[in-house]
Amino acid sequence: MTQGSEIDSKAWLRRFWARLLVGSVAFVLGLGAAASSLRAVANVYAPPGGEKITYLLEHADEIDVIVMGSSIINVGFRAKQFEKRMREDHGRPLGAYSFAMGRLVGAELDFYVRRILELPLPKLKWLLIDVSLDQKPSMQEKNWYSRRELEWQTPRQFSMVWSQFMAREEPLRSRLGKIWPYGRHLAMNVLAIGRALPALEGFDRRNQPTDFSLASSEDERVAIKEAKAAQYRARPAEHWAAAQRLRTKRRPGRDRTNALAAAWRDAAKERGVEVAFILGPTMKNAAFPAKVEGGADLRIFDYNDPSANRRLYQLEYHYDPWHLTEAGAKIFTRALADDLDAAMDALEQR
Amino acid sequence: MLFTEPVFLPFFLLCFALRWSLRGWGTQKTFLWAASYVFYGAWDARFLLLLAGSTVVDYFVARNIEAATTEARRRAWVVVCLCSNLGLLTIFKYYNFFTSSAVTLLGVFGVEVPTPTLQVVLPVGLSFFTFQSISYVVDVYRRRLPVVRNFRDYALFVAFFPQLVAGPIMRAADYIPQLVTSSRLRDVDFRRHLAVFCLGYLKKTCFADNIAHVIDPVFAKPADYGAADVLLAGAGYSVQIYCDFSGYTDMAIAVAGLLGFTLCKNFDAPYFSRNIQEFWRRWHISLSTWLRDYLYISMGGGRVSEPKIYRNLIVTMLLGGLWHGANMTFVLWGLAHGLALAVTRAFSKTRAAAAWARVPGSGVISWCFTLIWVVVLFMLFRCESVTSFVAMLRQVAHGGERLLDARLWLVIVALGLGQFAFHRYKEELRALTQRAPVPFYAFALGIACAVALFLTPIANRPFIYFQF
Repeated sequence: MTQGSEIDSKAWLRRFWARLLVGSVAFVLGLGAAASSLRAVANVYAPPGGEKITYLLEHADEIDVIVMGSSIINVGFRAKQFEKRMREDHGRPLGAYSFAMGRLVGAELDFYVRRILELPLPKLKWLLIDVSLDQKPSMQEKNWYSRRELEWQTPRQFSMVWSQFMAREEPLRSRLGKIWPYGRHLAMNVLAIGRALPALEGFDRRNQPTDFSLASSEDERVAIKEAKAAQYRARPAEHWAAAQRLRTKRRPGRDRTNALAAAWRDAAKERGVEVAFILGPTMKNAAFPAKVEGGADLRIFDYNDPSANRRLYQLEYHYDPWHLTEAGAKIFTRALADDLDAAMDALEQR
Repeated sequence: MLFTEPVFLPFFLLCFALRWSLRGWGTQKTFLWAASYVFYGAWDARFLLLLAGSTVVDYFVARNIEAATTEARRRAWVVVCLCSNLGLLTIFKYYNFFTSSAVTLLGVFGVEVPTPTLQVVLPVGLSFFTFQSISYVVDVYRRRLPVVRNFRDYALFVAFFPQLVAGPIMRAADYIPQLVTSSRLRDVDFRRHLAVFCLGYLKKTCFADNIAHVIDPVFAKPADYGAADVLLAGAGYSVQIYCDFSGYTDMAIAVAGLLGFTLCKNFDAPYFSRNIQEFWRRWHISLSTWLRDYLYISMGGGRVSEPKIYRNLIVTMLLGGLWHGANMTFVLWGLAHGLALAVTRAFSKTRAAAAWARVPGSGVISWCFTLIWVVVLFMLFRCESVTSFVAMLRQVAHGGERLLDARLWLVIVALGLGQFAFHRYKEELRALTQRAPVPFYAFALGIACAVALFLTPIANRPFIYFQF
C-alpha cells in the first residue's frame, strides 16, 4: 500500500468510526423514543397489572384495606368475610381487597407495593403485606414471556433481583444463568417487545397455572381445595412433623427482607397509609425480625407459630403444610380482622 | 440459533468485528469457517460431524473428478457424490416415508409386512447444503467450474452460516470467486443491508408469525371453521410462507452483505406473476434454478420432444415437491405445479395464447388465476395430510359461521399493496436511504426496529423452511 492510500485508508476509517458513533447514538435515541411512545399506547389498551389494578382504580372510593401477598393470601384470605367481621364485630365498616397472586414475593412484590402506593386511592388506610417466608423467587421457563412475568421487570426490580442472586452461595455461572431470563424480560419490557398483541393474556395466571388457578368459579375453587385436603388428611404425620420442627427451632430472619419491609412501611407512611406485615400459618422455619435499625419496629401479625395459633394449625384446616382450606381461611381471615382492629385501636389511642 | 434470537446479535457483532479486523484474508476465512460451525453446532453439535463428513467426501470427490483420466471414472465419482448426498437425505428425511408408502402399497395388493421405521432427527439445513454440494460437484464434472483446491475455501462455501440452514442455495461459481480476494469494508453498503435486515425481521416475526398465530387453528381442525375462515386461512398462509421465507432470505442476504459477501436473490415479488412459469422464476429462485440446471436439463430439458419436455417438467417439479418433505402433500403439491407448468407451456404454443394476450385485462385475469392456483396449492402444502386438505375444501363448500377476525383480510391486502409499492418504488427508496444524513437514517432505523420489536410475538417460531 502506498503512503497516499494508507493515509486515505486511515482517513476513511476515522470517518467510519465517527459515523458509527453518531449513527449508534441516533439509533438508540430513535429506538428509545419509539419504544416509550409505543409502550404508552399499549398501556392504554392493556394496562400493566391487569385486572387487579383496574379493579382498584374502578373502586378507589370503596377500598380501605388492601391485603397483598402470595398464594398464602390468595387461598387463605376472604375479603367479604373480613369486611363482615370488621363491620359486625368491631364496628368498623371497611372495604377490603385481596391483591394476591401465587409466588408474589421479592422484587415483584416490591414492584406492586410501590405501584399501589402510586395509585389514586383516597380511602386507602391500611396495607397488609404477606412476606411469604422462604419463598424463593424463580422464573420457570414455562412462564417466560407471560404478561405477568414481563410487566414487573423494570431496571429497579432487575437490580433487586441481581443483588438477591449475587448474594447466594452458588457458582457464578449458575447465578448468572438464573439472572439471564430476568435480563431478557427487562429488555423486552423496556423496549416494549411484543406489547402490541393480545397474546399477553391471563395476567394473573402464568402460562401453565396450577389447577387451583384454573378454577373458573368459587365453587370450583372450593371443590379443588377440598379434594386436596382429603388427600392431605390421609397423611397427618407430614403435617405434625412440620409443626414439630417449628416448635423446636426457628432460624433468624434475613436482614435484607427486613430492611425492604421497612422501606415499604416508610413509603406508605408518607402517603398516609399504615402497614402491617403478615407471617402466614405456613410452618416455615424462619423468623422475621420486627426490629429495624434506626427506626420504629415493624408491625407484624405473626401466625407462623403453632403454639400461639393452635386453631390455624388443625389438620382439617390445611390442604398442605402452607395453605388453608375454606374453613381454615375463615379462621385466618377472622384472626387478621381481629389483629387489625387491635392495631387500629392502638393507633387511635396514641 | 435463529437470526431473530437475542443471542445472534452478540454472535454476529463478534463475527463482524473479527472478520474485518483480523490480519490476512486467509485468517479471516478460517475464522468465518469456524464461526459457521459454531452457528450450526448451536442447533445440535452432533450435526457437525454430518456437515464435516459431507464436506470432506464432496471435496475429495471433486478432486478425483478432476484427476480422473476417463469419462467413466469421472462419472463414477459423480455417482459417489450423488449416493453420498442423496443417501443422507434418504436416511434422515425419506426413509420412513418411503417404507410406510411401500407398506401401504403392498397392503393394497394384500401383502402385509411390518413397517420398519427409523427414529432420527432431521439435521437442520440438510436439504440445502447437500444440494449445494451436488451443484458444485456436477459443475466440476461438466467442466463449468475449476475444482476448489483449498479445503478451507470449499468448507466455507458449504458451511457459510448466513445461508447454511435455509438457503439461498448458492452456486460455487457465484460464491468461490468471492473467496479469492477479500472485499473492502468501505465497499459494504451498510445502509442497504441494515434496512434489508430490518425489513426481513419485520416480515418474518411481525407478519408471518402473527398470521400463523391466527390461522394455525384452522389447519389443525378445519371442521371447526366455516368457508370464510378456511379461505382466509389459505390466503393467510400464502402470505405467511412468503413473509417467513423471504424474510429469512432478506436477513441472510443482509448478514452476508455486512460480512462482505453477496448472496443470490431468492424472491422477486412472486405473487405478481401472471402465469406459473413466471411464478417459478420469482419464487425460491435458488431452488427452481437448481432444479432446472441439475434435474430438468440433465433429463434433456427443452432439447427433447415436446411430450418428453412435459414429462421432464412434471418429474422435476414432483421431485421438487418431495425435496420439501416426506409427505404426500408435498409430492402432490409438486406434481400439481408440474402439471400446471406443462399446461402453461402447451398453451403458450397455441394461437389462442397470442389472441389471449391481446384481450384487454387478460394480464389481470391471468394474474388472478395464477394467484388462486398458487394459494390453493399452498393450502395443500400446509396441511398435515391429503385428508386434511380435502376436509378444508369440503368446509369451503359447506359454508358455516365465521370465527376468525376478518380484519386479517385488510392486513393481507395492505401487505400486498405495500409489496407492490415497494417493488414499484424500490429504486427511489434506495436513493432516499443513500442520500439521507447518517443521524437521520439511524434515527429512522431505530424507530423501525422499535416498531418491529413492538409487533414481535413473544414465543419464538422457527422459520418454516428450517423443516425442509
